[in-house]
Amino acid sequence: MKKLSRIILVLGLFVMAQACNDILEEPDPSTSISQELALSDEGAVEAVRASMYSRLHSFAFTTRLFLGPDVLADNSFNRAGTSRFESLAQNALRAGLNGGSGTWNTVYNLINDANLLISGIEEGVIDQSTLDQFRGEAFALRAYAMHYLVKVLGYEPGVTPASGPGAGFNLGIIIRTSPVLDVADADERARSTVSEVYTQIISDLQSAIGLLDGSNSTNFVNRAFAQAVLARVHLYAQNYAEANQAAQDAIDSGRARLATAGEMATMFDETAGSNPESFFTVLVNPDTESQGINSSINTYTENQWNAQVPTPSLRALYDAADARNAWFAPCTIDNSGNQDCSGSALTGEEFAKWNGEKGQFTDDFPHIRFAELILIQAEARLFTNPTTTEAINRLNDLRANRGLAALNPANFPTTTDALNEILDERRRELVVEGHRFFDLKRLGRDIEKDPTTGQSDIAFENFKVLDDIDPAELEVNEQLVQNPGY
Amino acid sequence: MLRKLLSTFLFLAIFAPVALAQSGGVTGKVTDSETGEAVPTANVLVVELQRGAATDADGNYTIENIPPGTYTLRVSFVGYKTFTSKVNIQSGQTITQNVQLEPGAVGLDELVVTGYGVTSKRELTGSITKVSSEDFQNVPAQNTESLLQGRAAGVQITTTSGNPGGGFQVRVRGTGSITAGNQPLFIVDGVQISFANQSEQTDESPLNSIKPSDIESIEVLKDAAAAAIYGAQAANGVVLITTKRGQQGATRINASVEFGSRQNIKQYDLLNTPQYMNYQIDSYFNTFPGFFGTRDNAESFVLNAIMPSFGYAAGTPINELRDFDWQDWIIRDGFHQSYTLSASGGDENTRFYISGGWENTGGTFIDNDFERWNLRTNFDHQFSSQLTGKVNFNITNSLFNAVCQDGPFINCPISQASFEPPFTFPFLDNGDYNPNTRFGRDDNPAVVEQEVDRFADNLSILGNISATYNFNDWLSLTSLAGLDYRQVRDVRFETPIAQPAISGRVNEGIATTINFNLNTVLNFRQTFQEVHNVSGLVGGEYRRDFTREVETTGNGLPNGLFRSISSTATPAFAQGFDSEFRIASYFGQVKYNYNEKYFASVVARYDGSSRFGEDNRWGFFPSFSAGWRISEEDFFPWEAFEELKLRASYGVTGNSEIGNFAARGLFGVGGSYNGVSALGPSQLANVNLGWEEAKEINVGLDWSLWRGRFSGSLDFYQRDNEDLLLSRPLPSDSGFGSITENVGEVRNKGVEFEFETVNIDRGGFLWTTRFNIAVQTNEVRQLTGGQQFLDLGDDDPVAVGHSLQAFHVPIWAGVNPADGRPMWFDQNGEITYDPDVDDRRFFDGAEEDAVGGFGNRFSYKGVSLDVFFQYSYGQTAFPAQEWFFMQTPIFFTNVWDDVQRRWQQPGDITDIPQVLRTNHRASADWRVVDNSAAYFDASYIRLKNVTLSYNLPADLVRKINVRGIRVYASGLNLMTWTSWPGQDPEVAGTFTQASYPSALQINGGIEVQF
Repeated sequence: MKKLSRIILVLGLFVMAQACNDILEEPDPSTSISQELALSDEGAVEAVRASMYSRLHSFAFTTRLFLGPDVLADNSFNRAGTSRFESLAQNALRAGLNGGSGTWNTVYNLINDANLLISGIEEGVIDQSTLDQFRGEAFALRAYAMHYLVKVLGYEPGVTPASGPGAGFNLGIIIRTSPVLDVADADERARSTVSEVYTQIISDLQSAIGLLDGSNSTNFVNRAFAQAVLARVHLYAQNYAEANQAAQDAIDSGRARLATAGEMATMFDETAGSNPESFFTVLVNPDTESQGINSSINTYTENQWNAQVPTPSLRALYDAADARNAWFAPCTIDNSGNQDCSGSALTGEEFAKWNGEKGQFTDDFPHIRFAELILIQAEARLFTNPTTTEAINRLNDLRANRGLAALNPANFPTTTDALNEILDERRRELVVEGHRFFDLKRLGRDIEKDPTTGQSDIAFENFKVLDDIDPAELEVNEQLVQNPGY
Repeated sequence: MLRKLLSTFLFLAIFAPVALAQSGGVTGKVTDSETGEAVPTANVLVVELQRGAATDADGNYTIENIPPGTYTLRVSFVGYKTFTSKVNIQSGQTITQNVQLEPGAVGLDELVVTGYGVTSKRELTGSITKVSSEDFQNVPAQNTESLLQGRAAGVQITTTSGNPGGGFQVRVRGTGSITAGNQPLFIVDGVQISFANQSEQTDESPLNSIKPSDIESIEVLKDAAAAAIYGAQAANGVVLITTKRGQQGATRINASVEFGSRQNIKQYDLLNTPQYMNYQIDSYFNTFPGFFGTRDNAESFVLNAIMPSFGYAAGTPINELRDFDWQDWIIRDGFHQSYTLSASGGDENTRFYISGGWENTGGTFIDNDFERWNLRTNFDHQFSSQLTGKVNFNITNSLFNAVCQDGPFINCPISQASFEPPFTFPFLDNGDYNPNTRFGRDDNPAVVEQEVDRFADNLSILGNISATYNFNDWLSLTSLAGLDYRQVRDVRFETPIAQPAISGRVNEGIATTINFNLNTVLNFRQTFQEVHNVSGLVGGEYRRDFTREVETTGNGLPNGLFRSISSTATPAFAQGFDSEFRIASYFGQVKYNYNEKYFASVVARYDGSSRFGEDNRWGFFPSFSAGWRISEEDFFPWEAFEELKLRASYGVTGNSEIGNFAARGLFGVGGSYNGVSALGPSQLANVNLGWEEAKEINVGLDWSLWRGRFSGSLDFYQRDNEDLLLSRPLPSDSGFGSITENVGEVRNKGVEFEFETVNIDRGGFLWTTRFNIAVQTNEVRQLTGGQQFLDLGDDDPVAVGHSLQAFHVPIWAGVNPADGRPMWFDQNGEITYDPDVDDRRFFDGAEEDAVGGFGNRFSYKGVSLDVFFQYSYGQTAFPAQEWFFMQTPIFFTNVWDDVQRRWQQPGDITDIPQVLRTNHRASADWRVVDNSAAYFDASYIRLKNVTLSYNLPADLVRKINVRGIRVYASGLNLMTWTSWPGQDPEVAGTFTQASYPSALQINGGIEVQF
């Protein structure tokens, strides 16, 4: 008996003696891994890459990016009695595309993921060609995300208001090109000028084009996408020759093609195959990656809330023969048994690009389409040629595939005439794909709200053209400067 | 280094040569000192060995198998002062010690359980409140926590839900932490209890696994000196629960049966249909006077355009609308039944306690009950005179038919009782569910009752084995291994009728907690030169708390017959994860007293936790305390005092209730792309992150006068909680929003006063009174950097210089009699109709200023009456459900009848503005402006318990061959005096949203002892 008692006590002591740091360090979380492991394990590096891409499922990169600019301008307005994006439609104070701080946070989370892939991965964890590819993707997405935020918070280089609070304002966003691995890396930084930001973006895109070998599918960032984004960025910076050339490089890649008039009705229907015009389509799994019933672009425009409907001024731009009329449908709230909502919609119609064919309330998102490159080239050629002929002819390449007759360049004698036509064509083609507000802003134009909505126009000089930075952010970072007027 | 020394010391202690000697024993008879009659069933205990016996019917006892040495013999029984005496046990001899018990209160010899030991009340230098089974044997209680409610000064127990089996919030001396846990450490028979992974379908108490009738005593270690032996887990106080054990003597069997009812304590005064229609029509007419022109037009609009959406033909006159009392339909009476059987006894070597029970209690809202199976066994065995083994095993199965609670949700019966307007009703004439209730058929309360099941099944196993080796009469070693295991299975089932869009859904989750404890303690106690008493302990402990959770959802059921995940058509959701923390500790205590007059104690614990940052893994928590029994001094003049003791203490404890991985640099799983799960940076490492630290000073006074007629204690404390965990915001362009650091500071100060009096003790009639009060204040002293507010925009902002739960809102100025608009004061004290952030003022807060309880007990010849009140003073709370939903027409939900006194015409002096469907002209929206008018006093006095019990006369029950019969009737929550507008002030928190109110309980029972 005495022996037994000693065995028990010695066993007890033995366990106690083990009670040292080792066992205290052992527990690890099951849904997180340590930073060291994340940057030194091949599977983990792929998961960090997935994280970067998964940021594109966020509200900021889906509903807000694709629908917000149309609402902020003149393409879309609230159906009577609905409230989603109402403050955007009314151009309310502090209600721009930064979404309070949502876009800012998402963009910088994506940039940090990209920075980890670009310079945070330990040597030799994955083979060089894969690493180059991942880095190429990261450069391109970092540039794409920076461009999104800089056009929300800053004017385009050289396009600032002549008067008002924003006159001469040239600040862009904070540039971060190295990963934050330690609290000391989370330092306070000032905003760079828009020119510096554009320089960084263009440099990143060129790095991406150099690193990507053209083998990626359109479900990931690929070289043609980087070229297409470069074309868009040059257009915003009014580097027209470079824009035209970059667009041509993307077109020549053969990654995408121009869809025909007959394909308009199914181009955005994932069940009918992938979008032939898309250079980069963000796939969304309806079960786990969708913004769901509350926040998806599908429920904002086509289903459930049907809050944002086309304006009369937008619909007036479409010729009856235009195949793109398939992108509109009579307003119905599908979830309650085809409940008719045409009575409360401005034109009785709803948008039909985002029909949720992928699954419940879910669509995939084509981030740059072939048609946009044609429109970029048309605009670029307008400003790099003495006449409007080249530009109008490029527009005709698109119109031929939209069921429309060719335009006669002679009917567009001045640059302004042609530019107006190009902008109208952009409205028709790129509606609810996130362009309208930025197209007006980058050209220094006023926002003429649709007259039936009763909203006042927003002059380019109005400080609300730039959204504000979250005031809480200004308290944390003393180097940060708020946008003028706020 | 310290660890090595301790290990070596323990090692030597075990293998030190131990004198082999024959054991001895003690025997005797216990009698009443006044009558000379035998006292049966008195407790006799050898304190050092923690071994006891009960006297038999003739008052005799025997305890054998005691190693030679000097021991303290302690004899106690209800209604008598405890007797203690030193006995010297000689080898091979059984000595006789007869005892005469003096009638009176238990007094100073009452034993108090402390951390890893037991001490007499006389020796206490820290602040410990004890509630023993004698105090609560007349309180029918479902939950362990409710035994403490109102009975322990400074221990505040708040019901978090009134559903049967529902949980409690326990706070010892206020709230000291802003972001970490404020829950005290609970220890049952030496095993630390885990609070992780509770049910998600209902509100349950983690202590449901312990049946209150199995509890012998509950000790609450309140000040740092008492709690510091638990180091990094002690800052929120420690609650020690000790269960009943068998005693040497004939086997005793106890059988009891209880029946009862549960009723809702209060229903709202809501509008009936004519009043409600009048209110709605007013709202339309007032809002759009130009459009309607006359009130008749507004009425016609409501009847023709609105009422069809509730299923009425257009134009149905008001007097033909139904008038349905939803509260009556949703609130039901619950039936309660409980059966318990226990047996205890033993011989000189083996003692046992076995109890089992079943109970079922219905709730007061539809479709809701609680069922519990419980089995407990405690075994003590004497292997030899020196080695004792103990086994405790408790298994409990709690089953809840749950309801959604706590939140203004359209599918929660508690909200639905006021959400449904009076003209809707659950069933159509043909028996179908009414599709035109306020939130449609899917959320018709009848559908919620019959087509939705929420179920929680909690299986808890709590057990430990321990062995104690007594080297001699002054040194013993105890090792304990304990397991606290809990598996909670949550099921939520919705038929295709309740979820038509996805044709039904089953959600099932299983959460497991495995909490393992191991400790070894060496206890010593020695007296030198008869006056220098030294005692103490050293020990080590290890705890591993592991949790795992798996949850799945399936959509699409063929019909209502199948309820398993397998019968669903589409898997919709799956998740699973686990988490863990570990604590390793070394601790020690040395106590010294000089002739039981001057006392001093030093305690220290060295704790390492897996939760702390790698550069700050171990913490040291010391405390010091001293006591002076002034009444023992020769110069002390007053004879009436049996005891007057001054205590003082200072100590440091820690709060490690922080996230398991809060210190690590982490990449977290979140999102996915193209079939690959994403891992994104989620948290920056803080290698210095540590525990929150509490520094507490306590000064106390204990007294007992006139042979226990007036005894009590008074304590003053001040506790500074420092290094509180707060998030420091980072520039979010870094990709991170914040980092957690140890920076904040909160101070709690308070006074606790408790006393007990024996008012009448004459001719068998005994009247005693108990009273306690705790007054406390709380102040935030420091936040991150120079921050003054944690969240400036919040109504409850956590601000430096104010209490943790202070409110910061505009002050209400009443209703303008001229036009019925709501008014507030602006920052300059002028009237404003649209207050902004700058107009906010601090006022009061949700913390209670004083809480406590008082009770009287009367007994005479087997009849006893207990009357107990509980009170809370100074809490202000925001009844969110009532404020947001029950005084506006816009949701078409019912409203309380306060709106009947609304402003209607110029000159009306009232506090309820004109009813409108929009904001008042150029004014803020009265309903959503959090302002001083929205905060109500939740002070209350509650008649918590009245119990009348009768022990049948002994000679009568002996004739039918039983030891005793007790019958009783009791009521809980019988009356409440309060101005709180909601249903129950006890469940009022800072923001109260349709919390399940406490029930009024009536019980009757019979207990038979064989």
